[in-house]
Amino acid sequence: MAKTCMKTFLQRLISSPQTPALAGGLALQRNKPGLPVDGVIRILAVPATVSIPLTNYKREILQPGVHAGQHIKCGDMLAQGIVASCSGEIIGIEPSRIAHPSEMSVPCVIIKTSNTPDADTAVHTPLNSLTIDRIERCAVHGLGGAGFVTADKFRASGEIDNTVETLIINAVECEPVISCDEALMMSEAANLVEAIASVVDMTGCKRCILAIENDKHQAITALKEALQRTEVTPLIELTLLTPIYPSGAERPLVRRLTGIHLTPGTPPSSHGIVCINIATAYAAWQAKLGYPMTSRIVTVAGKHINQAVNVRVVFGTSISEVLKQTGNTPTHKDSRVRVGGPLSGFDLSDLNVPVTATTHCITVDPVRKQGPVLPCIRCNACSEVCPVDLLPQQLHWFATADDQQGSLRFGLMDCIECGCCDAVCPSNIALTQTFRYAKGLHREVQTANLAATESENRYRCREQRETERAAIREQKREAARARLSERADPIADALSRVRGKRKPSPDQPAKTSEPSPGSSMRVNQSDDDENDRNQSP
Amino acid sequence: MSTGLAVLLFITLIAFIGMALSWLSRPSGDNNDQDTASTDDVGTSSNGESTRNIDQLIETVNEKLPQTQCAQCGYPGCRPYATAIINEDVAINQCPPGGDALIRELATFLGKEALPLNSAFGENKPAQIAIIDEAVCIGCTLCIAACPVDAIVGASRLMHTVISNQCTGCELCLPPCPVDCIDLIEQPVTLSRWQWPKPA
Repeated sequence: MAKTCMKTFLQRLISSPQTPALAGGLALQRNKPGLPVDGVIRILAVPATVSIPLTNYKREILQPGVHAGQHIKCGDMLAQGIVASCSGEIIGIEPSRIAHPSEMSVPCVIIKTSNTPDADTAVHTPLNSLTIDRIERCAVHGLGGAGFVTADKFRASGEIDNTVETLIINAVECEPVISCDEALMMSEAANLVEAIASVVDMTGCKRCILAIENDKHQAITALKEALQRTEVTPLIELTLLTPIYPSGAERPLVRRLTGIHLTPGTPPSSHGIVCINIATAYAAWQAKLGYPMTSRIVTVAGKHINQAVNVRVVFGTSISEVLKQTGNTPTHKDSRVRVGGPLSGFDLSDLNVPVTATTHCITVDPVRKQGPVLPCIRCNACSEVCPVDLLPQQLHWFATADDQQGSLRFGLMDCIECGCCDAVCPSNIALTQTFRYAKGLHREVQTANLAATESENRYRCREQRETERAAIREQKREAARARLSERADPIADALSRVRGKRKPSPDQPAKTSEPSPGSSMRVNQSDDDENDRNQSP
Repeated sequence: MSTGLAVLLFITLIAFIGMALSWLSRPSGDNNDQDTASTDDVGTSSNGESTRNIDQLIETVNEKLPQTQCAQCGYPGCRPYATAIINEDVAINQCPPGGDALIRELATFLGKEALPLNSAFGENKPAQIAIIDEAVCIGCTLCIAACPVDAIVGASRLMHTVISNQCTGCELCLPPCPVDCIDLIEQPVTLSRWQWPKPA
């Protein structure tokens, strides 16, 4: 016992002297097929049509700024924050399925690509230094998997205290199979260092941590070589981490590198931290040179794959097209195609969905034969591997019972949905999915509460308005009643009013020319009454 | 002698511990725990404070109500119903949109029995929204006047439409429509409203 303790302690001491190990996590075998042997990333040919979904990371549907039949160029804005990934003609804006676990349809801009491929020239004029506006104009999105708008990340940090203390460049790609970032580092290390330098320059950060696992030997060597050749080297700290899944997730990574515990809902920017993926930094640098973000590197791998590769794919290319062009169209009957990693991804039933900024990996594997779900035996394996110190077995208890207060008390919103607990559960309990469901339920309740508050406000406004109107009506009625009661004889009054209105007959000229003072007064008064009546509603 | 002294000391110690415990567990005056408040607590203190407590109770009950303002409970809105529950001891099972979940919540909060929903007031339905058939609408403005949450826009003799994310599905616009052009549909599941299903 003491011997094993000593051993682990020594191991930790040797592996990473400055950075503490992750609280839990899984030490998975390094399995990175598809890394470029020759150091060159293949570029997939642009298909005949591309389909760009009009939605953002918040899952909002965006209004298109273009119409069918319009000819567009690569980099033209299609909607807020979305650019055309290639030139061509818009043949329609119609609902189409997207790569999302809901498998729902959202409006997509379908572009018939032009026969002549886009010339390899910049769309915008190159800048001397990177700006947030340029990042926004080039529609740079996070390439780590969440697809956050990168410009918003930098803006948020600027809004709070105008400074970025720490810039974290996330090159930790801890999930097995996924190797798109590693491939990029191996092939474009020099450009990546320049990219990081330009982002450092833009943010004016005091510290820049380039975090990478210590088993990516080729990538580390390439980056180290490139770092020696640049001038900003002292600012960029290359930090090596022990490869434990999920150390690449933002919250555990920030905690591991800076010791700051980010509570759910607080962005890293509130602590002066900006954390971006290394490929996002590369895309930002491309934006500086004038190229909008129109493609990403996708890992194609799995057991039912002929040749695992990393390919650069233009956004909007369908997943079936990617598999076809890489020679990996599923032939087995019991294949399942998954988007995202083996742990954090989701299965697809329709392959005709477009690649977007969040599609980092496509895997084709045999259908998993899941054993029957058994009751929890309280073995505690899930809480040992949880990287955010939760007690999944307890949380599961509350989540399945729809007890929201209990779930929240046990840190439901802290869950990063990494899937570690699922992987170790001996009873095959779908823990992560239960937590996703419970989170959804909580969000639904929150939205409903917000809507209830708003509708109550509107109801109160309406009530107040109605009361005010009724009061005004009542006031007018009172005034009319008072006027009526002032008069001595309303019948005589009415008669005189009628007489006053009657046309003067020719045999009574004297009456019109010389009216008695009393009657004229009465006539005037009756006119006033008439006016009053016309005015009242 | 020494045994007697020890016993005496022991008794004194126990007495001290008891006093300390009772001092620690004494009810704190300003800490008003809302979740255990009930109508019985009210009225013991001065008049102004009791009115304030009643107002607070009404406010809390009102917050629990679904705010559809549908008037199915027999009161013109959610706040009047909350007021009636507190002031007139009206039954808590008269809110169809809130359903059994609301009844349970109110029962726990007010210390009342959780009766099943009184079907005389209506039945619990899934969330719905109104939709106007714009081709048929004659622009009479009657539905605009009927909507309790101002979720219908339009002008006289011009087409009206429902602001779907503000509609509470209260059905109050249905009876006044002279051309019967308003339908209630189940709230559609959009991408932003989609949630993961519960695992089997």
